[in-house]
Amino acid sequence: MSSATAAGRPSTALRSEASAARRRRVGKLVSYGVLAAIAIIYVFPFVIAVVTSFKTDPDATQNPLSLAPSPATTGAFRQLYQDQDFLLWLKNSAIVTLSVTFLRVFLDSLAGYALARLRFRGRGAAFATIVAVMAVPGVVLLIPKFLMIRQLGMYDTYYGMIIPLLVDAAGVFIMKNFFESIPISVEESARIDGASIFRIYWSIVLPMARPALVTIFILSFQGSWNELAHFIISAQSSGLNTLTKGVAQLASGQLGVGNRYPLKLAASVLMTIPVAVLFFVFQRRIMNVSSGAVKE
Amino acid sequence: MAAITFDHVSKTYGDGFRAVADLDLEVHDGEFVVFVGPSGCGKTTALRMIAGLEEISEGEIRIGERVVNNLPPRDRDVAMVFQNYALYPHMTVAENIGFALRMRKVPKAEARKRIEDTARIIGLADHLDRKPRQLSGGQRQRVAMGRAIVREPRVFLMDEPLSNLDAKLRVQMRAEISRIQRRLRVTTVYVTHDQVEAMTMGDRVAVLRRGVLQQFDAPQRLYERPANLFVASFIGSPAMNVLEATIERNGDGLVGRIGADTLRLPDARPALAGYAGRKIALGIRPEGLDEAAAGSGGRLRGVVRAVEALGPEQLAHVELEAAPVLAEDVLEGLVDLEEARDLAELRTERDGSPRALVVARLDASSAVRPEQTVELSVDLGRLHFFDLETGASIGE
Amino acid sequence: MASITTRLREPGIRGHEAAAGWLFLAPVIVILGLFLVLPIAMAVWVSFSDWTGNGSPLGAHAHWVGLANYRHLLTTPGLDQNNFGTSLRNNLYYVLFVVPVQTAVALFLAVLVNRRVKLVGFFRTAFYFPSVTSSVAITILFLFLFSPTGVINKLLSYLGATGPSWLYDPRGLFHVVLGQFGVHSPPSSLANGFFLGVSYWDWLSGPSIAMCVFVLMAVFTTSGTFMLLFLAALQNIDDSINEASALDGATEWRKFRHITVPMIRPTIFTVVTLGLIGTWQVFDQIYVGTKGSPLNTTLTPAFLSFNQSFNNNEWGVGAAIAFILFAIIVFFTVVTRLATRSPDHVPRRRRFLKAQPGGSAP
Repeated sequence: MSSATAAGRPSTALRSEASAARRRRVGKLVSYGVLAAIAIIYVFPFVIAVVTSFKTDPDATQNPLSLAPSPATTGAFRQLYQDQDFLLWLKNSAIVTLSVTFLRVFLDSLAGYALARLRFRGRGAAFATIVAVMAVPGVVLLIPKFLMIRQLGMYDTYYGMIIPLLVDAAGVFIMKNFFESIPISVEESARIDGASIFRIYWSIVLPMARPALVTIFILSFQGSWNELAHFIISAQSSGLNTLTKGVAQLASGQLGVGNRYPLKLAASVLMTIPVAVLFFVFQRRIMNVSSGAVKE
Repeated sequence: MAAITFDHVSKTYGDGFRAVADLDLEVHDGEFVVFVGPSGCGKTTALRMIAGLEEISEGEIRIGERVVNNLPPRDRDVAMVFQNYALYPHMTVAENIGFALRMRKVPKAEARKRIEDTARIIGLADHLDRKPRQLSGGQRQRVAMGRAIVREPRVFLMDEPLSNLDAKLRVQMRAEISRIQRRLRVTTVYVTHDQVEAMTMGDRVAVLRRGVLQQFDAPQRLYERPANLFVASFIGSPAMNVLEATIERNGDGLVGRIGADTLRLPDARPALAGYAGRKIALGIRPEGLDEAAAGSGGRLRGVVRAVEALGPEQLAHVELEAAPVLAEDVLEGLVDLEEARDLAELRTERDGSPRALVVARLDASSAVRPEQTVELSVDLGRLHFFDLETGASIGE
Repeated sequence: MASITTRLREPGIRGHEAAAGWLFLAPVIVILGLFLVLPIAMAVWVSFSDWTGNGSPLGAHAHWVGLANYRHLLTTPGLDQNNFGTSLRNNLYYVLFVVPVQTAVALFLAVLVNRRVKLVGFFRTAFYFPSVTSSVAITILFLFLFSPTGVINKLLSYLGATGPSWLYDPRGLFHVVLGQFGVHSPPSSLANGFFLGVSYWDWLSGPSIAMCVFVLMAVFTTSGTFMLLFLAALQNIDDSINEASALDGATEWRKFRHITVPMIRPTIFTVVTLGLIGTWQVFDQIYVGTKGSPLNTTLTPAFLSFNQSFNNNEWGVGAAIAFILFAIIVFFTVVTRLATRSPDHVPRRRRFLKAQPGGSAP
């Protein structure tokens, strides 16, 4: 942008342009430097976590910063497998997370479609209720949910762990907004073609809503995989421990001597892998913030 | 195949807006009828009521003998082509075309055959496995047509199906749709805001304005015998020139005074006599004006302001010392941008006296130049007369 | 409306849409009712009762005690009041430190990664990654980083400094700073005045060193999420606006201050509000990390509410804490709304009128 170039004095203009270019280059280097420094702060802890999980207890305590375990050992992982119910926790987490995720995707999209497109009396009130519910902070609900789960005889069952987590007002909201962005003529065309309401939902609208469904899938998977508080209040038997709950108990140190950081960090690393994989698979969708909406 | 009857049909929305008022017309079996009018005239609402996408507030719509007011769309045996095509983006062309057949549980083999036949008609036999996003605009439009054709419905409904295509393709598809309709002989209602489409495609054309039917006639009748000022200015391009004229008795005949000029009016209009001494709106089509040769009937004098050479003909924009009629129904009928631009000039006054800009369709050989003063001859047999207050045509 | 009456008598053109609508909504409504609306009602009842966890709170074991539980927390001196007051203080400092810092860091990161530079994808990923990991895993990681012999203290020792024992250090940050200036004990006016069972001096302690670890952790884990929100807002700013101001000769900072910030004001409000709502609900980290220790300086209302109910069987008190916390969150949200309202704000009702379409012509 050389709008300042005065016709009569090309040499000064050239010189100032050159210095501006140099300044830009320096600015670029500085911003790279800042970015790199911050990136190290954000990434380094995870590197430490992975490295430490291959260390022995004394090594972890004495050389917490060292990036080369000496000796390198998979002892922590073997202990998780042998001494702890890690596989059981994994199984429970998988059961709960997959149930919650798939049911949420289904129920949210059903409700979102009804709120976006079907005309019936009470629709506005139903939507207002769902929005109001969205505003209630989750921590306030710990005691209420426990009371209800017990009242319904679901305490200490998968049902008690899964069903209350299906409440997902935000998901309904996302689906409703998405369905409203689909041109309505597509559905009208299907109506004229002879499709029933459920058929339109299932065969026309749902396949078109894939971006929103993926969003709900990611949010639900991450949310229920990482959930802790709800599992604390909905079950007590160790047979129903999820990864979060099991590892949390591990961390609060009910296991005798030493701080055993390699063991705890090994568990942390392992439990992070599924969400990390999900994150990297859908990275573009998560990160590409501007084109997250509809684009047909 | 079936006739469609609108029996005093109205559509009022929840907020009181009346989109269609007392529409009463019949589309004959196998006929191609175009609903035309500016945006907001109710044409699309009327179409959607036939489809069953809008509820009918008052009156009855019949398809064949059956009242369909409360019949869901899928039981009406109609097919519709939408302005944005409304293709199913996740389905292939074949699946798009076959969806309605699948819904109607047509046996697989038969469906396959009908899809292929349809694809041949619309010229997409080689594209059956493509998804809509891999197709061009024209191809998508044809898929939308195919989806309607394959159904073999009793009625085709088309909602501005060509408005998303570029001009050349539109002309081509216009002919294509007409050809397909004539071949299948399916009763068709076609909605457009483009009067050229209406005139070229429809067996009959219904002109709507603000929810009210203005005239329902064959295209040529609309052009030659517009029922009111709105239809007169809406149909035809360039639009009809409309000027204020004062009717006066002159001996045993009538004359119309337009500014300084006087036109002798044909005797064949007895109803005009009742307007003697009053102002009316006088309409002249551009082809009703010509460069004056010696001795012909009426003349109007003016200054040429612009000349557009179109090849076979020239359009001369001539400024007359006369008052233009700028009633709302005229302005609403003038839809072209070019004419809107002229309107700005129409409003100008010079030396306190009003000026009107009229368009004359002249022969290509004409030598008129801008700023030249000309005399225009008026074809007195092709004048149109309208009541200034009601806008209605003054009968013969 | 004639159309509605016809619809009631026969299906009409839209078929059985009303039935389908309710059917589609039914699962969500039922779950919402069963696990949200009813439970809240039940918990309200419990907060007014003396239920101790035996039998059903709706049965003979629970009795109406009016506001006793609320009074117990708010006006009755004692251990419970002291704990509640302490937890409020802890959480208040947590909020005051986390919300501004995480908002600023998130905005800073968003501005950094909003440029068209190489590797920007990598940087965005790196900054966002802590947000997707579970609070349990992150807490364990921070326990290790900040253990007395951990990574942070090792790093500090390279710099010749001796780090504190972090999560075992109950000293308040402000007290520590005052200690540097030789102030070790409070003036009597501060030592003898009490609010919610906590002395004024202790109210002014600042977050404990242990709490500071949780503050850092919160910034670390949430800045990525909020960075994405800011990034979306920044990308919505029309390029021409930036170009126009560049032509006007605005410096980067002035551009940021006078153009960017006003334009993303709604997002700032969103981030601050979400931050407030989130930070008042700290539970997981405390449960996994410290359970409120040392000396209750990481105790939070959310954890206290849980502990009173599930471990001490004082369900009424626990529920009362939850509802007070709810009120606090609502209060802070409303205050933020008022504080960040833009000058050209249109009141809600008028906005609705404004949005009314003149007519619904097709």
